[in-house]
Amino acid sequence: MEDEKTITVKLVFGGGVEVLFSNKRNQSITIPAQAPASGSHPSRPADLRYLILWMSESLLTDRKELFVDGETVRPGILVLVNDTDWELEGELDYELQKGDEVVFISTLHGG
Amino acid sequence: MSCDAPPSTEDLMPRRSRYDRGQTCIKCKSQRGNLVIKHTVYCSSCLPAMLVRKFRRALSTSLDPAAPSRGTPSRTPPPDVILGLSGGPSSVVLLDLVWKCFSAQGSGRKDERRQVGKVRAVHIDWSCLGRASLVESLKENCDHYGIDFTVVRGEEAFEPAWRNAVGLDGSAADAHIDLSSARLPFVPSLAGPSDPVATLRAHLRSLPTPTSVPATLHTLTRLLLLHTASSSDCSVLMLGTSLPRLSIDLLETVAYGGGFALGAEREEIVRTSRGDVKIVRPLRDWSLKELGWWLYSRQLSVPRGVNGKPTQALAPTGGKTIGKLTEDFVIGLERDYPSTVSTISKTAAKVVPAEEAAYTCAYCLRPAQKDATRWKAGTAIMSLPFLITNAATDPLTPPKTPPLPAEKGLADSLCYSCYTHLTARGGTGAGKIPALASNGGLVTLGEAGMPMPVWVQQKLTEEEMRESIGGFLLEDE
Ligand SMILES: [Zn+2]
Ligand SMILES: [Zn+2]
Repeated sequence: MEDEKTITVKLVFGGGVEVLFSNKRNQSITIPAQAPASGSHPSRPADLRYLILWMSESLLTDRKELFVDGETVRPGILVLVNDTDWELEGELDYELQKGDEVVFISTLHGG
Repeated sequence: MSCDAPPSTEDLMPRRSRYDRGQTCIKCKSQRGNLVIKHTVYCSSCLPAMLVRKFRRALSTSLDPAAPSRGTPSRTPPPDVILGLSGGPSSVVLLDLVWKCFSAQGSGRKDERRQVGKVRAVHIDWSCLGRASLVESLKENCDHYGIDFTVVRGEEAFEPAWRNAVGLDGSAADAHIDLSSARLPFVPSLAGPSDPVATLRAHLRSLPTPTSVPATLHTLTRLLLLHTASSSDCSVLMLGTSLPRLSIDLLETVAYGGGFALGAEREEIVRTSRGDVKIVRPLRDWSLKELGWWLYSRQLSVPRGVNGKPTQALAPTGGKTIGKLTEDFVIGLERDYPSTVSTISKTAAKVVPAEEAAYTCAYCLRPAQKDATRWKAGTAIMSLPFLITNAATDPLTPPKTPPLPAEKGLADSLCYSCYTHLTARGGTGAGKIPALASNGGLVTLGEAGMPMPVWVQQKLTEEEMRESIGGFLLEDE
C-alpha cells in the first residue's frame, strides 16, 4: 500500500546481477518516503543513496559485495533512472519520484 | 524534479561533473542525453548507430587493414569465424552484434555481410572445476540467433584424444616436468593414462602461487579456442574483450613479465600446426557503460550471473590474486577517470619489442625473445630460502650458487611469462586454494612431475629419443 509515507518504485535487473535478487528481473518495491538519517546524511526525502542501502538490507541475502561498494553500487554496474544514466540525474542524491524505474545492469563479473 | 528551470550543473553535481557540457546529446544536439560516455553525453536515438559504428570500425581494421572502401567486392573469400563465448556480459553483446551486422535477419548490409564467412560459436566449459554449467543457456542463445554452437570441455587440454581430434601431433607422449629444477626438465610419467579432470587439477595444484591459477585458466581457455578454430579451418577467432578487460589483461601481462608480447593482447596472429588464426577483439574500444547500455536497450539476458565467474571457485583463501587486484584497480579507474583506461590500451598498442621473436612459447604460443628464461633460470636458484638454509648451516661460508643444470628442459621453449607462472616464488602455494586441495588426490605429484597440456610436447632429437627410451626397451635381437 502506498500513502504519503511510502513511495513505490520499479526495479529492473540485468547483465547477470539478477542472480543476487532471486533471479527476478523486475520487481516493484515500496520504501519509506523519508530516508532516516545515516552517517553524515540527515533525514531527507528518499534518494538513490537510501534506495541502495535499503536494497542491500532488505533484498540482498549474501554476497552483498557483488552489488554494493560503501554507500554506492559496485563499479561496473550501470544505473539508469527512467532510461537515463544516473550520472545525469545527480547519482546518489537523486530524489526518488513515485513510479520511477531504476535499472541496474552488471557489465563485469569479478571474483 | 521540479518543473522550474533546469538545475545548473553545480546543483546536480556538488562534487564535480561527470560530463563536460550540458545534458544535450552531442550528436543530434537536440535531444536530452541518456548516457554519459567518457564525459560526453549521448541520447538513446543516437547511441545504437554510434555503437554499431564503433564495433564495425574495430572489426574492419582488424580483419582487413588494407580493405578497399565498402562496396568493392573482395577478391579473397571472407574468413570463417569462431566466436569465443564465456557467457558473461561482453560475450552476449558480441554474439548479438555479430548477428546484427552479419546476418540477413539482423539487417546487416549485403556488402558488409561479405566481410565474414561462416560464423560458429564455441564455449569452453569449466564446470569440471565446480562452476554451474552455462551450456544449456548459451545453446539456447545461439539457437535463437541461428548460430552453430560447440562446447569444448576445459579438461580436454589434458585429454590425449582431443590432441588427435584437433590435428595436433599425436606421436609424443604426455609431457611431465620437474618443477624443482630451474630448467624444468621433462620427466617420464610414472602414472598410466589418467582422468583428464584429475590431470587438470594436478596441473593447477602444481602452480607455485595461487595468483597463477586464474591466469593459467585464461591461457588454457585461449589455447583451447585457438586449436578449435584451427581444426575447423576458421582463420579468425573473435573475443568479446571490452576496453577495461583489455586494460586489465595488459597490466596483468606486464605484471607477469609478458611485455615482449604485449601487442598480442590487442590483436595477434597465432601460427598453429594447421594454419594461422587471427584473434580479434571488436569490443576493445567499448567501455562498461556502453556494454551495459547495449544489454539494456536490446533486452539481452546474460547466462553467467555476477557470482558465476569460473575462477571464483579457485580464489585463494586470504589475499587477492594479481588479476583481481588489477581488475579492482582498472574498474575503479573506469568509474572515476574513464579516459585513463583507454590510455592504458593505446599506450600498449604503441609498444614494439626491440628485437624479433626468437621462437614461439610451447605453452601459450606467443612470441618469446631470445634466451627469454635463461637469465631467470640462473637466478631463480638464488632465492631466499636457499640463502637462509646455507647461512644457517655454515654462517661463515658465503652462499655458493649451484651450477646451472646442464640438462635441457621445457624452460628453453617457454616465454618469460609462462616460465614465471611455473617458477614464481613468494606466493602462498596453490594448495591454499580449497577447491583444488579437495578431491584432487587422484594424481600423486612428486614422482610423476607436473602434467602439461597436450600441446606442450617434448621435442627430442633422434639420439635423445633413443637415449630416453633406451632404458625401457628390451633387447629383441
Ligand atoms: Zn542524439
Ligand atoms: Zn608462454
